[in-house]
Amino acid sequence: MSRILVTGMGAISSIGQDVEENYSSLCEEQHGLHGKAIPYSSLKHLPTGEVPFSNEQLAEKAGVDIDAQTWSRTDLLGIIAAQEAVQSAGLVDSDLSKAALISATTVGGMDVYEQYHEALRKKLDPPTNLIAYDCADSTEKIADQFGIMEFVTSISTACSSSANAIMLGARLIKAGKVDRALVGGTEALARFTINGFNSLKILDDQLCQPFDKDRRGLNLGEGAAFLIIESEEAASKRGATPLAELLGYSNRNDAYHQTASSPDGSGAFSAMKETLEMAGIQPDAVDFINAHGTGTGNNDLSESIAIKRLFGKNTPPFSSTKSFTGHTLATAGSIQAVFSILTLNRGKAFANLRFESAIEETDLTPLLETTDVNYKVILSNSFGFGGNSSSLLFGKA
Amino acid sequence: MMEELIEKLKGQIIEQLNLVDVNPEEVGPEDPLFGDGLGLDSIDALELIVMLEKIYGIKIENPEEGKTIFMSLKSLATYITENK
Amino acid sequence: MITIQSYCHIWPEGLAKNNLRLVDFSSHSAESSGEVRLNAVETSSNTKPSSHERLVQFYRALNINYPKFHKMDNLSKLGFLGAEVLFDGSGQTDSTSVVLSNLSSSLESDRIFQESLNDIPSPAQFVYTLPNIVVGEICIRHKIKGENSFLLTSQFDSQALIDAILQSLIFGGVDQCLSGWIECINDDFYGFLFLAKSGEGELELTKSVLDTLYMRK
Repeated sequence: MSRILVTGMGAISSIGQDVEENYSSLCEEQHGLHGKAIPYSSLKHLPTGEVPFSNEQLAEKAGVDIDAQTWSRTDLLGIIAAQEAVQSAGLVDSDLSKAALISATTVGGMDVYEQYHEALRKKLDPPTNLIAYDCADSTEKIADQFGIMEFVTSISTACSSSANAIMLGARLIKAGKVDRALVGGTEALARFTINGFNSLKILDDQLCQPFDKDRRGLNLGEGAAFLIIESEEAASKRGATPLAELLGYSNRNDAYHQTASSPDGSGAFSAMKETLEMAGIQPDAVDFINAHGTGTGNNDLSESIAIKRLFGKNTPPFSSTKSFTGHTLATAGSIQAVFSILTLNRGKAFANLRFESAIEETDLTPLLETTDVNYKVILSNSFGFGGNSSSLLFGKA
Repeated sequence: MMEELIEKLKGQIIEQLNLVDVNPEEVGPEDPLFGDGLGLDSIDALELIVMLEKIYGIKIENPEEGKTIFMSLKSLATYITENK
Repeated sequence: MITIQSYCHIWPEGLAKNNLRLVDFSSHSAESSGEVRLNAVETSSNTKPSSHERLVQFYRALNINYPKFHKMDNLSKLGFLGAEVLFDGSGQTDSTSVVLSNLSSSLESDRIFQESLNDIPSPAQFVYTLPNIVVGEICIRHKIKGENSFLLTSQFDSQALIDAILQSLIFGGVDQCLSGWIECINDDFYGFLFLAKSGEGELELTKSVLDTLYMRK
């Protein structure tokens, strides 16, 4: 069956407006958690990973007319990252008409609704463009931008959404339905999400400390990241340079609780184990794990237990790049994919910032600083609410 | 006074947590609310914190404190009486 | 060959499995239509019940005992009922994946949560502001650990579902897939769920079969 190659990628987050800027920040250990919740939230003390551009600036970068139709922040971030992915793959729009587009988001256009929050509170008539702002609008806009018509769908499975989008795209290629796919996710910060996570009391009012024994919770972030994935045949036919290979993937359900992970990390364990089995790779051949590592009491313990169950004494180095970007929810899987591929290609593994001491039950210490490495195989984890647990395995091209 | 508050709390908890099929008469003042008791979970604990604030104006910042406060109807009633 | 082993429809007036009505809230009599109505429910009130009320009525009519049902939002209640009817206590969920879909995601719950922001945000309500939580509820109830997904499509998209189902059956190492469409918005709801399995059967999993089966009751 066909190998799946990554031939392009794009990313925008609180640490960079494109892949290169993200990379520089990661190397220099510069996090992006400078946001202080968004203007119309009373939760201003919560650090967030905001992309430091207004919607107008994003629209300009994306080359779209923000007045011609309604563009949510999620739409704009998504278009920017998708454009970079397509360009970096050396593709033009016509190459994509028969491609698949699978995008992921959970918040959708919520920020548009919230702009009219005050008016809605006072029960004034909202603009008609608010009547139905479907969650999948950002996917439609990306499809329109590139003329993608063959297969377009949106996935919304919480924090594992974009990892699942990558997986679905790979499967469509392996099944011979399409030769290539634009896959990833986009998510903007919204008052809705910040208040929601705050009501669950899993937000950190300081900068998050994934895997630390005194971790207090997560910081929310926003951003978008997309990959172009192709069959080996399609990539070689057009002389594309592969950035990495998608060696394996798996999705399982933890079947424990709507929002908490099981104490023995069974969903995470199964997802990681089956990803390796699919790729025919033994645990001791994994060089690095880009962990889900949100910084919450529950996830980091559950994930650590799952990692130890699978890897035992051979636990590879690992880190959580959410310590840089915050938790970008639906986008997390795809942004971690980009970072994992950067590690494979540029020979730099990224730190798990602000770690001080290990969780007592599992005693695992992540990578503490940017390190020169020569890795060939990286595992990336994304575990979402609803028990949705996914892992992706990337290898050097 | 305490009995009255406990009965009131029972009704409020049943409503707040959608415990539609729970028979209030079967819930004793010292019965555990969590674990095997009413089978409440971590989200229910958070909703009880919201209820405390909404109805009784008492704010609990740290969900860990909830474990002792929400142990039983009696412990909750005691806490409310002491902190109102 | 992938076949549809069983399916169910859930809508405000009734619930049917394999086109056999299990619960009936419509006003015309069983005798005149010739259909068997196992749980015809008398509703004395003339006002149309809310989605919430109706879904609880289905729960009671089916004699389900699962207290956590009452904590779920309407979308999760709808999906849960469909899964309950299809799995039928058979316990055969070892090798199962779940792929559900709709247009409006969890919008109904999103709106309710949004309202609560005017007062004190409700964590229990926030939990349901993701469309895949219903999948989680089904997996918890039936101990399903296989692949699971939620697709957002502008209308019932049989091809998208078939592609995702095939992926999970062929590559995901499972024998069956619970799939379908569950939409719950504007005080209306419609659920069409089915179990797709590898193996022989009367109803082959094809676009035209699914599109026909889906048709609103």
